[in-house]
Amino acid sequence: MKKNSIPGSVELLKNNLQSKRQQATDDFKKRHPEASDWLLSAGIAVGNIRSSLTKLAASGMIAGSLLAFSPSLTSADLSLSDSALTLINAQQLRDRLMKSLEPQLPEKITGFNKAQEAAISISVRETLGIDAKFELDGKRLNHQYGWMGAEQHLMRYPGDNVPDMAPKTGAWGYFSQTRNDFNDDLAQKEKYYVAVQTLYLPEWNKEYQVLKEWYKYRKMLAINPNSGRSVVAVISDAGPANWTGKQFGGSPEVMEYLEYVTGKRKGPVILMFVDDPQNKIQIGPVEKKYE
Amino acid sequence: MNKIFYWHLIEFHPLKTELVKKGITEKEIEELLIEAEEIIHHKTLSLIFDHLPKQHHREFTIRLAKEPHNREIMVFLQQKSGVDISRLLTENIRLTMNEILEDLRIIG
Repeated sequence: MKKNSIPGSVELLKNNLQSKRQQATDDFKKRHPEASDWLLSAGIAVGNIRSSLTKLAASGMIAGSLLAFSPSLTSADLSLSDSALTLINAQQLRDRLMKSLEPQLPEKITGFNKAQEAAISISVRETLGIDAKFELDGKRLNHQYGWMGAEQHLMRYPGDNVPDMAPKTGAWGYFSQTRNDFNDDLAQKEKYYVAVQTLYLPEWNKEYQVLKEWYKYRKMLAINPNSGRSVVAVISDAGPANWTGKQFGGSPEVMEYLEYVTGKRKGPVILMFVDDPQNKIQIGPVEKKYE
Repeated sequence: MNKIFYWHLIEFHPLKTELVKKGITEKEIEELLIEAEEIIHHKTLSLIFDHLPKQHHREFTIRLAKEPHNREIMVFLQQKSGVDISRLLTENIRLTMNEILEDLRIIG
């Protein structure tokens, strides 16, 4: 009977897992004898990592022997960032992002190599908690890092009239066909929009129908790498033209948040697709909620 | 425990489901999950030390001991190792978990 076989099975399972754990411990010590000592001096016993970390968390301190083990260790080494994402303020978050992106930025505003792209994606995920990518569903923009210039507001519905509004609709037409159909969601999409050069994508003309639908209101993350400010926006327009020397466009609100509203009203931006199939990431400034 | 910085990469649900299916008590499931977790920690840390240059081992250890849950550790590892460590860890954890599940199916 199945019920009678359970105690034996549990023992067998336990023995098997314990044996695997022992093997993993032995392998670790054999491969990394010095690291085993480092860990032990910090209060983490190889063989009992989980319980060691639990104890450390409970005591709130690192074993003092680590200092003795390493005389060159200074107090600065220990002054690590102080809290989880929910406890930090917006400026700290920006600083973290900026610092983590800095090593990946090329001297000139050009493309990234694959390693840089991977590192940036991880930095964004770990810092902002957003899964952002340079390539999504096999689609890729012609630029990932470029100059973003200020755009005007887009016409939201027929008869719309707001200050600083472009004389024509965006590349995807009106946001709604009537004023009555215009809602808060669409309002956000106009408020925080970016323009990208879909017109220069090599496959654009050939796969126009599919691509036009795919790129419409596609969620993007725009980062000012020099300040760490970031905003989630959607693609609502195409452009700018190559002759402008700019690669992306940003709505008045996007540009204001990225702090590119003075002088030539343009600045360097990293632009990434937001992988958000369940539509959980809100449109708008990312770090604002920490202010 | 205070979650470790790569905790989000570990998917315990399939293992828990398999154990529940076997009619094992909650206490026993907890014990078995702890064993599985220890295996994952050892294999994960081993992989990290494999890819992290030696001169950064000390700092990594300090960071881990100081704030094991801090996800900035992943950024640190990414920068210092020069490889896509998040992807490597994800794959390593997935393989380890699959091995455990496979053993479970054979034994069970």
